[in-house]
Amino acid sequence: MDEGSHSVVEETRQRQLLARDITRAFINEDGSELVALKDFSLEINKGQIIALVGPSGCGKSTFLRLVAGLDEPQAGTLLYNGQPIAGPSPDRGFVFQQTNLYPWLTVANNVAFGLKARGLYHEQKHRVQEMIDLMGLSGFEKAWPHQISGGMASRVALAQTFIQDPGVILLDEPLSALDAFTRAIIQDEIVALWQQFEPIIILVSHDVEEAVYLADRVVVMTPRPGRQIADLAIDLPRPRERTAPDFIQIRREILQLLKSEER
Amino acid sequence: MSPSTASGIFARVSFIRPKEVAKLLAPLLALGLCLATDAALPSVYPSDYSEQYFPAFLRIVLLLYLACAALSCWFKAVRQRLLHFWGLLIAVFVLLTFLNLQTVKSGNFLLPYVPSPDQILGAIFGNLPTVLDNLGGSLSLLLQGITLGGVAGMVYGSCMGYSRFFNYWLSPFIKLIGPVPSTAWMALAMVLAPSSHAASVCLVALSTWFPLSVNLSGGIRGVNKTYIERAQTLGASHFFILRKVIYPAVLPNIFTGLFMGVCFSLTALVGAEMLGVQSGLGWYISYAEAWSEFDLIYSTILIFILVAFTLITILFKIQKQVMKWTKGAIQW
Repeated sequence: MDEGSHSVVEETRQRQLLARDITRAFINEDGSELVALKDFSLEINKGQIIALVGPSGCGKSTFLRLVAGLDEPQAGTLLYNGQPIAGPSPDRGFVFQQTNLYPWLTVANNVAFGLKARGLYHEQKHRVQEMIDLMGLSGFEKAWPHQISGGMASRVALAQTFIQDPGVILLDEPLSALDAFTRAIIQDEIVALWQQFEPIIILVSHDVEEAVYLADRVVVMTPRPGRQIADLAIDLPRPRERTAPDFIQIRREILQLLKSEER
Repeated sequence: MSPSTASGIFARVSFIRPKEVAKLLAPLLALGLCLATDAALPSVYPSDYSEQYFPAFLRIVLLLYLACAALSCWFKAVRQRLLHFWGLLIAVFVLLTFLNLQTVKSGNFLLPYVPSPDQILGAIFGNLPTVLDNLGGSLSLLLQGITLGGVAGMVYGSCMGYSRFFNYWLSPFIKLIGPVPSTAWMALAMVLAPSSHAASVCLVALSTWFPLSVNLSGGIRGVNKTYIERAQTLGASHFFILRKVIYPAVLPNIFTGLFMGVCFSLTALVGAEMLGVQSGLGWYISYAEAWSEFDLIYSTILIFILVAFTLITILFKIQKQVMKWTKGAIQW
């Protein structure tokens, strides 16, 4: 082992999640190459919320899939707790863009899915009801996913992931299909869940306001090839005020960064 | 009349609207027409012939309908059923009247090609032991074949859908063998199988296996990838994903495959019985044909209709029960 890789391991003791010089390219159907991520680096400390914002094709979702272990980088180092990421794990939860509840399972069984998959259901049965109560889903335990509203479906998807108490939670535009009012309510619920379970959250969003509202850091990305152009710390106290001058100032800054890249 | 002044039972009866009462009574008129023409008009058939079954049949239908109509005053479900079927019931009774008039009452439709409703009923109830014997034989053959083909189709389709390796080696086989009509295998099956019964079971199984495998493997390959990835990130094993994600997701494909399988199987069954096994409803039809007993042919077709309808209705009832989560599955 050379000295370089030793220092990388040292570094991840503090930085729970570490990506260094990640490259991931896809081959299009016509044979051309699409570079989703090029030499992308990111370090995330324990318990932080990171938002990745940027236009389509900037590799945000690709990065989430890499961290989830659903895909592998072609080059670069991707470490979680000092270990390379190999394959999916319940310690790295993923809430997909479409809520993707299992339509053949009731709300309660959707929430319990991970516990059942890992054989923990019998010991931890009580946690399912606790989670359902926490998310305000009481009374809908036996409902089928098609019978509940979009907001509730998002809550079930969040509950399904948070009940596993993972160290990392990846949110791929989890609220993009909701109306603005419901979205604002569930954003507060995400903050509450985060404060209770204290995972790293990596949020991918098209919505700059959502990113600034939730995140400790906003990473601004740009496409072709996907890379990072800014990493802004958001030092506003929670709960945040969307109309506060600081908040608006940061939003404007990020939007200008994105706009300047477009030119 | 207001509910407060009427006593319990009549208060509820009064909730039926006049239009609904008319709809409930209309089939009775058609049935009455059938009964009246049958009783009033003389038979033109040879004098040693007398109607035995048709009048009794009509009276039983009348009693059943009256019973249902009475129940419909108190049970909304029964009423809704009757109100739904009233038009079709009238059509059935009118058609029965027409057939009766054209055959035994006028001789416009010639014997032996078109027998009267009475003779068709007679062919069933006059030979009841034989009919039941053949029906039993057919059903047992059919169920054995469908079970065997169902299991084979589930295994084959799962392997083909789940694994690239199996798909490579298994799919050419099914693409070549599957579409060949099962009766084409008849001669071979009779020689190769230990008994003609076993041969027929295999042919019926073949016709269930094919549509089930194709539907199932296609379904498995088409399962929404996010369902599987989500399960992986939640810590599910391959086996758990297969049981709790993939199979539930392909249940609609399984039922479509089984539905087609049952339909193909009936064809295979009749072919097998006509050509190979010397029993069962298929054999009964070819026997009746050989002796020009058309009333037997009609009655056996009638039994086939009932068998097929019952089997498929049961299948859809099971589907509805198993797939409780769906809003609008395929309706039967």
